[in-house]
Formats: sequence, C-alpha cells, structure tokens
Amino acid sequence: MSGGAPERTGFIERALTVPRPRAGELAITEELGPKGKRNVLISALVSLALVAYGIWWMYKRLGAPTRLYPKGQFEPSLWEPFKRSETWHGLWNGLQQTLSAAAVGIICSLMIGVAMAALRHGSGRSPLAMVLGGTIGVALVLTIAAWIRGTNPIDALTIEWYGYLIAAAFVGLLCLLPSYTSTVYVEFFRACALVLLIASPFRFFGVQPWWSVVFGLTLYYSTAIAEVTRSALRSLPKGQTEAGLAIGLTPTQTMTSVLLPQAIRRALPNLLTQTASLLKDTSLGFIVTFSDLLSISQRLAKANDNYLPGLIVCAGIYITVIGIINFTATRLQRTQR
Amino acid sequence: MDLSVLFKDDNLNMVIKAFFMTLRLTLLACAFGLLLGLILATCRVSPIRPLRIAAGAYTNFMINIPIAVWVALFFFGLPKINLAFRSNDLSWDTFRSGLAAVALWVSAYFAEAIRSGINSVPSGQAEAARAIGLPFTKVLGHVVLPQALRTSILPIGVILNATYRNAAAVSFIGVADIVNVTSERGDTLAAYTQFTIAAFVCYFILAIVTNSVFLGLDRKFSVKR
Repeated sequence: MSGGAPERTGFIERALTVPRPRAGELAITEELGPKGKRNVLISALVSLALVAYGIWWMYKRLGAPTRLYPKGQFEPSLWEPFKRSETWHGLWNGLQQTLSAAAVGIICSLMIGVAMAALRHGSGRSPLAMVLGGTIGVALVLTIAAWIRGTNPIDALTIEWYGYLIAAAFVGLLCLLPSYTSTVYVEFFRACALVLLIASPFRFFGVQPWWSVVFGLTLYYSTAIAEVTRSALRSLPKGQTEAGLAIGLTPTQTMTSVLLPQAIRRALPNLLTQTASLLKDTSLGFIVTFSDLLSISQRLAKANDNYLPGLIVCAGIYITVIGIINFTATRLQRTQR
Repeated sequence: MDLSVLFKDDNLNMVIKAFFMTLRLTLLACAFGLLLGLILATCRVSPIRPLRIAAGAYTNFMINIPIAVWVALFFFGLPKINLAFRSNDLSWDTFRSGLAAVALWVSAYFAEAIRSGINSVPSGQAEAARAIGLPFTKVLGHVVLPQALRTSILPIGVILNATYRNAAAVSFIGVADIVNVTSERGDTLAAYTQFTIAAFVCYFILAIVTNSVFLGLDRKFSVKR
C-alpha cells in the first residue's frame, strides 16, 4: 500500500473486498482502481446473493414437510431427545472414549515417533540409540511373528523357540544399524492402511476395542510424527550439532538436549495438525466395534429415530473439538513466522 | 499359516473385485474432488471477500469433521430430507452416497494443497504478470495456476494415497470395498489373518503404483527452482 491520505471507504465496501494479502500469501491483484473496485463490488454482491441462496435452500430443504413430520427436520419431537440428560450422558461417554483413545494414542506416538526421528537422523552409533533400536526391533519381531501365528506374543515366545533365535539374530543386526531399523519401521507402517492396523490386534489377538484403536493409531501416527520431527531436525542449522559436540556433549546428549528441544518447538504446529488428524481417525474404530462418539450417536439416533439431528449434533461436537486444535495450530504457525 | 483359503472357491475373485471397487471409488472421488478443489482454491485467493469466506468456511467444515461422519450423514441423513441416493439397488445407493461424501470431503484437502501451491509461486511472477496489465483471471489462469499445479503434483499424490485408505470409511455403510469384503469373508470362513494380509497387500499395491506414477509426473512436470 502506498502512502498518501487514507481513502475513505464505506463499511460495506470494506466488508466485501480484501485487496491486501497476508504475509506468506501471493498478491494476485493490483491495488484496485475505481473501475476494478466497482467490478469487485458487483461480483461480491452477486456471490453473496448466491451463497445466501444456497443457505436458504438448505434451510428450506431441512424444513420441508414430510409425511411424518409437518415441520420437516425442525419438528420439535426430533430434537426432544437433546433436552434429556441421558442423551447427553451417552454422548459424553462416547466423547470420553474418543478423547481418551486419542490422548493415549498421541502420547505413545509422540514417544515412539520422536525416538524414531532421532534414530534416523543421528549417526546411530550411540549406546542409547542401539538399546532403543534393539528394544523396538525385538518388540516388532515378536509382534509380527505372533501376529502371523495368530497367538499372543507371550504364548508365541514359549513355543517354537528356534524361530525366535533367528529373530533375535536379526534384531542383533538391527541393533547395530538403528537408523535402518527406524527407516524400515517408518516406511512400512506409513504405507499400511490405518483401518487394517486398528483391526489387526482385535482380530488376531482378541484385544479390547479401545486398546486396539490405540495400538493402530500409535503404529500409524508414530510414523507421521517421525517424519514431521525428522524434517524439523533437518531444518536446524548444522552449527547446532557442531556446537553441542564442541562443548564435550556426547552425540546422544547433543540430540536430546540441543537438537530435539529446538526441533520439537519448530514442529509444534505440524504436530498439532497430526493430533487433530489422529482425533478424527478414532472414528475408524467402527471396524472393531469401538463405542466412540460416532457409534454412540448413531446408536442413539437409531433408538430415537432422529438420524439427521443426531448426526448433526455429533458433527458439531467433532468440529468444535478438532476446530480448537486446528485453530491453535494456525495461530502457533503465524506467531512462529 | 495356510494361505490356500484365499484361492479356494470364489474368494480371490471377490478380493480382486473389492480392490477395483476401492480403486474406482477413490479415482472418481478424486477426479470430482480435484475439480471442486481447484474452484475452491480460486475462490480463496480471489479479491471477492464473500467467496473467500465461503470457500474457507467450507474447507474448514469439511476438514474438521471425520470422513466416517460424512459418510453416515450422506447415507442415513440425506434421504430424510428427500435428497436422493435411494433406488432399488442397495449397492448402487451405498456407492453413490459414499462417492459423494468422499468427493466433497477430499475436495477440501485438494483446495488446501492447491492454495499452498499458489502461495509457493514466487511473488515476482505475479508482479510481472500484473505489470504487463493482465487482469485477475489471466494472472491466475495463465501465470500462477500452471506453476502452482505443477508444484502441487506431489501433495496431490499424497492426498490420493491417503484417500485410498480413508475411503475405507465407506465400508461403514456397506460398500463392498477391500476392508468390507475381506472382513466379511474372514468372518464367514474364520480366516481373519489370511484375509487381512490380502487386504494389506491390496493397499500396498495401490500405494506403490500411485507413488511411482506421481513421482514420475513430478519429475516430468514440476518447476525446477
């Protein structure tokens, strides 16, 4: 914007046009002249009318009388269940299931994901990295082996010990190369379908639905978080590592007390986005009959025969919770810039 | 573990059919979604404020509600207000409502991807286009969008890849996709392990093929900066 006397614009005109892009956005239009302003104003009014018509149409549609309900979906009897406390009690139970699974899932995936990122980023020679890599490798081998056998991991361990001897040798190799372990882990589980990861523990080991959801979400989102954290680690200046090593820290100490704190702070907006995404994906728990917010509201809607109001309330709860997380992420991103 | 159950009777055929069902649903949804996403992204960068706000609200609305909720809303909710998706053929109904839900949902993600592609075009490009007197539509259509689309090839591939897996939410209403068919078969024949492995393989094939196609497209078309 050039200097000079500020132009006087009316409230409506200001509300309808924004020629000025925010930081980080591309300026596609020039500062508008009188003709351009007029054109923009006209098209703004037209589009406003179109949007308003769309909303009006939706409203009419919802209120259109049907055989059973003369006031359409605005019929009071359809919304009456939401005046009762049992309904809200049920919804609250569902929300608790969703939120607790998401919370435990995100904590586990943060721990595993950050560890994986550190292992993949680092040289992979430090003892801590080797122990971590080894532990994760053993757990992975046990789980996969037990999974294929269709028993639980501990049962599988007591039979056919020779299979585990081979597995242990394999893990021993992986211990020496933790960065490869984490690469394999990340690349493998990132390509898996989340629904199947959630379904597997439930189907193969008879794990409870809640745990099954947490397990699947952790496997999948730890890889996403590992990628986010790793790209943040890579974006740090090389001098940070050098300085850490120069003052006598071991590579592990450099990673944990110099690089990771900075990387996590940088990755925070993306980590929040992943959290919101994880929270949404708890609704895939329908595959293991997990009674989360969606399935509870569906059950309630079936019982009360008010599908549309029930699902609208359910969507409203989701949009509030997830919207808050996404809004925080956007704000953080803007303040970091 | 005995994988031979997969090859008995009609099982393999059913899994292959389900594979193509997922593929068809995802590709159709992504084609519609990409078109709608392009329109939404254009609205979001246009100088017309009501369009910006409407497109932004739509995008946030779609992204912040899980796909399973959308699928349920489309299949169970819309018929209540006489908005179609009902005929004599149940599988066709479920397919249509699943397709509509996934397409509208994924369009918001495409819109975001294209918008960030637009914002990654160097500002000098738009300035030069404006300096030679092009109006908004031509700046966008001739200069900015071609570059933006080329930079968003990889993000679009990532979204397509994610859509294969998220489209599994349509098995919630009974579309015969990979997840639905493999769990139904596994249930009937008590062979969960085998059929789940088959499902994993199906998704791996989809992921690998899509990845390589989009990497190739990116190598060919992306703007080297």
